Amino acid sequence: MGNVPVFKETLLGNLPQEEYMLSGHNACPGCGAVLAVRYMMKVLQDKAVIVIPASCWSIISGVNPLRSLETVVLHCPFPAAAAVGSGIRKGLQAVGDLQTQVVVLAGDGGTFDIGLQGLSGAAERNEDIIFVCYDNEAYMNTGMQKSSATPYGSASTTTPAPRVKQNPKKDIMKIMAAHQIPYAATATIAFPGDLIAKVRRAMEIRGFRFLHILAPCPQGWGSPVEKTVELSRLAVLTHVFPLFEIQDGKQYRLTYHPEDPLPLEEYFRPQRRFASLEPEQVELVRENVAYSWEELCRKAGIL
Amino acid sequence: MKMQMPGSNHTFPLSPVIETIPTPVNKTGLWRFLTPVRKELVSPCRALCPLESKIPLWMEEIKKGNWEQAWQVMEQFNPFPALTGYACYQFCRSQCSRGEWDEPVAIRDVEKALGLWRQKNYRSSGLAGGQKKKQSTGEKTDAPRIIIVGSGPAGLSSAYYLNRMGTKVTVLEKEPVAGGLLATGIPRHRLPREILEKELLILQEEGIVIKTGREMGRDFLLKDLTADCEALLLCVGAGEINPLGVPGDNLPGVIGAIDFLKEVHLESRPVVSGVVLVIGGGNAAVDASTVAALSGAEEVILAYRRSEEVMPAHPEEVKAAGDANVKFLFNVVLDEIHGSGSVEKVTLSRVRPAERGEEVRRISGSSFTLECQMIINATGQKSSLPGLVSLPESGEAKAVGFIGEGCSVSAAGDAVTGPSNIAAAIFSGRQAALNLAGVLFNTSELGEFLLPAPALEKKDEPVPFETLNPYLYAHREVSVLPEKEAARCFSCGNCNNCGVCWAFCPELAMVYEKGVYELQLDYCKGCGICAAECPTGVLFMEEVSDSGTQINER
Repeated sequence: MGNVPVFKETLLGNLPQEEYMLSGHNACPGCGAVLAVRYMMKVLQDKAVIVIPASCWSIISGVNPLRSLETVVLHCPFPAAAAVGSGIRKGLQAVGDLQTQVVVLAGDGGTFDIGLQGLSGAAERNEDIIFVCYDNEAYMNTGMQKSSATPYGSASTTTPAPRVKQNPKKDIMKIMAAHQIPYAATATIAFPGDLIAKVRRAMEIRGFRFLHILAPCPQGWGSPVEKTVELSRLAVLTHVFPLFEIQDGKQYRLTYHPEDPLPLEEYFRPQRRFASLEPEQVELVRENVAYSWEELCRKAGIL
Repeated sequence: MKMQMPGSNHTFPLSPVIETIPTPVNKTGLWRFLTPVRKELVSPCRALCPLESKIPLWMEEIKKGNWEQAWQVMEQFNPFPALTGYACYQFCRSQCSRGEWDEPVAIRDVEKALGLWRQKNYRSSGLAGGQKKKQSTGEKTDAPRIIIVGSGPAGLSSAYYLNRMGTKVTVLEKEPVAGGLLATGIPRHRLPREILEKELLILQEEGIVIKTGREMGRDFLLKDLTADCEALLLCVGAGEINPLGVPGDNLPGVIGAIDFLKEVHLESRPVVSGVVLVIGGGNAAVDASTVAALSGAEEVILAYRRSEEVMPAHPEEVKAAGDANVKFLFNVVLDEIHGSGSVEKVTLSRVRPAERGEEVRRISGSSFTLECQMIINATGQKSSLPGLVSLPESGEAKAVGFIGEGCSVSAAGDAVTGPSNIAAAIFSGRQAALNLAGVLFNTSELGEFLLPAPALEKKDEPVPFETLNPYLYAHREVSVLPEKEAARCFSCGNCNNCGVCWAFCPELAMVYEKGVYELQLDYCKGCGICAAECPTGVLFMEEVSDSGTQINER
């Protein structure tokens, strides 16, 4: 195949050419979660066991007997992802395999809501696994019901407009930081170079590692399919979803620092789920985003 | 299946491996109703370039450090990047998409670097643009003979291309030095003469005969030439000055701008002194005033009948004039020139500000006098052709060919277009060469020779900035390194194999094979992320029924 002469000038970084994901999977057109896992797999390669609880990815990875990942995949019950991952790690230890990475790949439901106790337990025990949450901000696989990852003001089938969600998104990164795990980071698909750098970094560390990847869902967000990557980028450029990493729950580091945030409206406008937001509600979100950003910058020692 | 525990004899059963089928058996391309299609478009720089040069293509090669390939692309559009790299007005830069993001790409500087690379590497390799000369001059006995009158940029560019087509080219120049306005008109600070000389040397090395000091009507007649060649190309420029049309305009001390510049540059004129008044607002006027100021004039005043905003001269020239301490008088017209024996003073009147094309109106009682020793007339030039031959009146007479007595006679350059600029003249010469190629050869047999690029058939709308994806580029300042500067080019409208479509395809339908990214339609679900993210704006989502569409044909 030869080398792919890519990205010398663009911000994407050098992506490995090898693919450990296959075409023909069942994801919707323009799926952000697919891209997240595609980049992740480029680094993990085939030396990983992937544990998938109920989520979009339990479909995308292939309904039996199909498979779209070129490594071992284990489907598990919804709340048990982190526990199953911990068990596999112990099993691998028992046969002397310390090289294979155990990666839990859960959606936001399997992380923020249903999987939270398992996640918290595994994090507290500092199990040697990588927990990856691809966050599309609702239960997209079952029909866009709200989760605790759904942001304030978003419509979903359980919070239909105009009675949109009135509570803010759960700050999972603070929860993970409170567990003082060795490594936790956020990433998103519009910055694949940043994403794979974080996966690489996570692989170098032992202990519990957590990755929070924002993966826009055009179906659930009501956005045009071609805007998946653009929305992911806008989330970062508007400070809605900052890119950072936390070591040992203490050392914060911003990995991408957008100079001036773009107006929040640019992020909201293409998404139908935010269509019913009134200007004063947008203002509320803006204040919240600005507060979180400032807090983060302080922790990272920038302010 | 059993597995042994390490360090013990205990074994435990392993669950049977389930046979799985890779998902590529699912032809998810069936879901698609829009297909990405690649279209090559005109970049904003190319749309503005008088040479219609495919700037992104040679930028791409320079970015990779492939100077040889960059030259081969450049050569089809512009054989003299060193000359344009110094003296072109860089129309391209004004609409550069990069300007919307941070700063426009310094296209002319990269072009200059390529031109200098070519000049430096020409001799050492002994190759003409990387291609070995097919015939040496001596062997071209039965090759068509072509005589070009005038060695300005138009004449030289057609000479270059016609020579590379295998013809025997002779260039006649009336001045003692070759180069036309490049040698006699353009100020030295804009075009160092050693650059021109080097270019002329290369042309002679290539086998072009340049004869200087040969003026039509004095040393030879048009009909003498037609007997000696198969094609005659008149690139005589636009050197006829419109008279000032005021009392006293024939006094000694009144001189045309082109003649003045020629005399200064050919050093056939005593030193300029005293107060010099330049009449006009075009590039010739500004050039002449700058040169007069730099050649020792006490004071140089440029008088233009309209305002600064509508002055046709290029801002770069105006800035250079300002730097040389030229004073500007706007909204004034010349009424009369006074003097006995030579120019002593002039009467000028103020006028109301007027748009271009609008008649200027004097403000009554506003006339004033100015003492000056010299007046340079730069109020406009006409083609030098009419005195020589009759040309068809057609407005689009860019290099019209017409046949006279077994020899096809045509014209190119300023003689046809009226006063223009270097790039436009080189383009006109290029088109004339292409037209002559059609007359002299069966062009399909010319495959092994260099054929100049044809003009754009229709001026397509350039790629709008909105269809690009600048977010993939970091904000960066202009670099002095050509390779780094070329890397800032967005390559608008020209696929440069950046691979962004590959990187962002959730279906992994974009595959890199044999140097190109190809779309596997079997798996493309038609989401359109590739088209939305493409930084060059060449991908479009369209309804396509033909299943064999390739995204990248290069």
